[in-house]
Amino acid sequence: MSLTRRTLLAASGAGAVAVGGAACGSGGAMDPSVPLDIDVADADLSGSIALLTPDFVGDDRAVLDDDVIAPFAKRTGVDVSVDQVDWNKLNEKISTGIAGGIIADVIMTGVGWTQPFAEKGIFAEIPADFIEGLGYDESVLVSTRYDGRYYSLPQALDLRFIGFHPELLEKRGIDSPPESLDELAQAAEELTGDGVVGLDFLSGSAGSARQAFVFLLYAFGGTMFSDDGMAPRLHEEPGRLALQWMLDCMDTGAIDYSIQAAEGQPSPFQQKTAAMSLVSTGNWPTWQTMTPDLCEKGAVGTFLLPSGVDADPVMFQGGTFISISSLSKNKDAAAAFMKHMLDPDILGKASAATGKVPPTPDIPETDGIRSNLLMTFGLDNLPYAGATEGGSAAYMEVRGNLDGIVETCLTGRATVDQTLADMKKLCDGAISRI
Amino acid sequence: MTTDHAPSITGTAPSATRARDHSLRRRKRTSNALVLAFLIVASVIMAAPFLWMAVSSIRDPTELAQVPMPLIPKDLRLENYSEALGRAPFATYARNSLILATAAAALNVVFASACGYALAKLRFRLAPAVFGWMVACIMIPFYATVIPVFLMVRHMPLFGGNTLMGVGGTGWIDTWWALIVPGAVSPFMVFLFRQFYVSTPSELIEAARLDGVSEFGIFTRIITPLIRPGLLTVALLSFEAGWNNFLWPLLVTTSDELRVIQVGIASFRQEASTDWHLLMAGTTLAAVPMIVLFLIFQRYFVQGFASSGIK
Repeated sequence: MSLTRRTLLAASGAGAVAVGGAACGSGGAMDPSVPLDIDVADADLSGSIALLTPDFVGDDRAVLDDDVIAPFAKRTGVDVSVDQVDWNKLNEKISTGIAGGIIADVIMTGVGWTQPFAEKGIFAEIPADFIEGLGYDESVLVSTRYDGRYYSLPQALDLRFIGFHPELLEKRGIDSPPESLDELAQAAEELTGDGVVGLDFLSGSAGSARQAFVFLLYAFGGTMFSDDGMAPRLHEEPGRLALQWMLDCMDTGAIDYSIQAAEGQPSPFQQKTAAMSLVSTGNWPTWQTMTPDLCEKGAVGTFLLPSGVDADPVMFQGGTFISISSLSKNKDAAAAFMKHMLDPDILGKASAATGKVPPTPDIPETDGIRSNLLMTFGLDNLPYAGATEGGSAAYMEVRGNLDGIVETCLTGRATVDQTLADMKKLCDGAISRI
Repeated sequence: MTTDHAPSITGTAPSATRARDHSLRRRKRTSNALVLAFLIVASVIMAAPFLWMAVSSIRDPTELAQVPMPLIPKDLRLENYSEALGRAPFATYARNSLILATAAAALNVVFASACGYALAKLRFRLAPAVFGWMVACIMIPFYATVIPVFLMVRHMPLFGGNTLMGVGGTGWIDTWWALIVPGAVSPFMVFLFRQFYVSTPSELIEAARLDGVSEFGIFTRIITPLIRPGLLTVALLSFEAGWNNFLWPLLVTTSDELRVIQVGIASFRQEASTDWHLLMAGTTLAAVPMIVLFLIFQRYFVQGFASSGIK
C-alpha cells in the first residue's frame, strides 16, 4: 500500500486519539472511599510496593534500607522499592505521577499536603480506629484529616519554637522567658543593640516569611482556613494582629528585616548576632556540623512562642506525613508497611538517623534523641504543636504565593489592610477552583 | 589656496610621522592594557563562583560558619571528597550521566543535523512554517511540556507491559528509553544546525546533484563536513544539557540504578539542613568533566558560535 498524505494524516489522527484515550483512562482505577485494611496477617501479604520519600537522603538511606525496610521485607516477604525525591521536586513528582496514573504505593509528604491530595482522591482513607490506637496527641493529627476522615499519619516532625542565648539575656537582666507576645516584643527591644538584634524572626533560618506569619497567626488565636477548608480565615483579626506585631517589632528594631541568612551562611543566631531566634528542630544537624558549641548543654535556651491572647503558648509543626495511594494495587502490603514504619522501634531508629522528631514520645530513648536538645524540647511540648500550615484542599495552590504577599507587607510595599485583602483574594481564587 | 599654505612635506615629515606613529602605538598600548585589565576583572568575576566552590570543597564545615570566612582555608580537608563520594552511589550516577549525555550528544548531532539540513537546503513549501514552529518550540519552557511528554512516555505502546493502546503497564517509565528518547532532538539544536547549513554554498549541492550524488550523500559527505565546528558545538551543548539534566531523570526514574549525578548531588540537601562542604565537593567533581571538555574543545566551540551568527 502506498503511503499517501491522506493515509498519513489519518494514521496520525488515529494514533493521537489512541494515546489521548489511554491517557484519560489511566485515572479510572481510583477508589479513595475504600478504607484500608490495616490488620491483614503477614502471611497473607505478598508482591511488591514502592515508597516515595523525600527523607532518608545521603547517609540516612542505609538506615531506611537496612533498619526499616529489611525487617519488614524479611517478616512479610513483600519487596519494597524506594523512589527518593528532593523536597523541592516532590510536588512535581507526585503531580506527574498522578497525571500518568503511576504513583508510589506509600507516599511521604509534608504538613498541609494531605487535604489537597485527599480531595483529589489520591490518598486512601486510613481507618480511624487504627489511629486512635496509636495514642498520638491531637495536635499532631490535625493535619492528617480531610472532611472528617484520616488520610495520612505523621512519621517525623520538624518543630519550631524560640531559641535564645542565655548569656545575652542575662547581660540585660532578663532572667525568665517572656510569657506573652508583648513581653517578647519588649524583651527583643531591650536585647537589641551593640550589633545584636533582639529577635531573628525573618531571616529564613527556620522557615519562610509565610511560615513566620502563620506561626504568629496561631499565637494570636487564628487559623488559616475554616474547619471545612472552604473559606479563608487568615485575613481576619488574628492575621491583622500578627502582621502588625511584626511591623511594630521592625519599627523598634527588635526584628530586623534586613538580616537574611544567605544560603550556606550561618544564621544570625549561630553567629550570635541575634539574641533570640525562631529555631527548628531541623537546625540541630547544621549546628552540630558548623557551630558545635551551640549543641553543648546550657549553650542555648528554648521556649515556646507565647500567646498573644492569654492562651497557651504555641509550637509550629512541620514534618513528614505518610499516606497510602488510592491507586495502589497492593494496598494491604502498603498499609502493613505504613503500620511498620509507625512502630515505636522503627520510629526511634528513623528519628536517630534523620534528626527529625518522632510524632510520639513513646519511643525507645536513644543517645541520639537524648543528646539532641531541640528534639527533647519538641517531644516534651508536643501537645502545643498546634500551629500548622494548610487546612484546605486549595492550600498547595496558595502556599507559594503567600510568601510574596507577606513579604510585600514586611517591606512596606503594601499596608496591612491591602495584604489581608490580597491573602483573602488568593485563597478565594484557589478555593473556587477546587 | 590650500596648496600655498600646505605644510612642506620635506624635513619635518618623517619626525611628524614618527611622532604620530609613536602616539598611535602608545594609545593602542593603553587601550590594550585597559581592555586586558577589564577582561581580567571580568574573568575573575565570572570565575569567582567556581573558585569559591572549589575552595569551599576543601574547607572544614566549622570554617564555613566563620564570619568573616577566611579567603584561604586554614586546613585543607580533602576528606570532604571521599565523604561526599561515600554518601551515594556516585560511580553509578556518574556512569548514568555519562551515558545520558553521550546519547544526547550523538542523537542530537544525527537527527538535528538532518532536520537542520532539510530546513536550510531542501526546497519544500512547509519549510518556513516548520522552521517557525521550531523557533516557537524553543520559547516553550520545559515545565509547560513536562506532563504531556511524561504521558507519552508512560503510555508508550507495547513497552513496560503496555498494550497496543498504551495502557496496563508503565511504558518507558524507569527505563533508559525515557531518559534518552525525549531529549534526542532539541528544537534549539535544529535551529543551530539550520543556521550552520544556511551559510554553506548551495552551488556545491547543485554540482553534486548534477554529478548524481544522492541527497543523503550530499548531506553526509559534502555539506556536513563543512560545518565541523557546528557539529562540535551542538555535541558539546547537548552533552552539557544531558550531563546537567536533573528534573526529567528525577521524574521518569524511580530506581537508583537509573539516577544521574545531579540527583545524587541533591542528596546533600535536606529539608532543613545542607552539608555545604560535601555539596561543594560533589558539585566540584560533577563540574570537572564539563570543564575538561570545554578546555579541549573551546576553540571549535567559539568558532562554531561565531559562524552560526548567534555569538
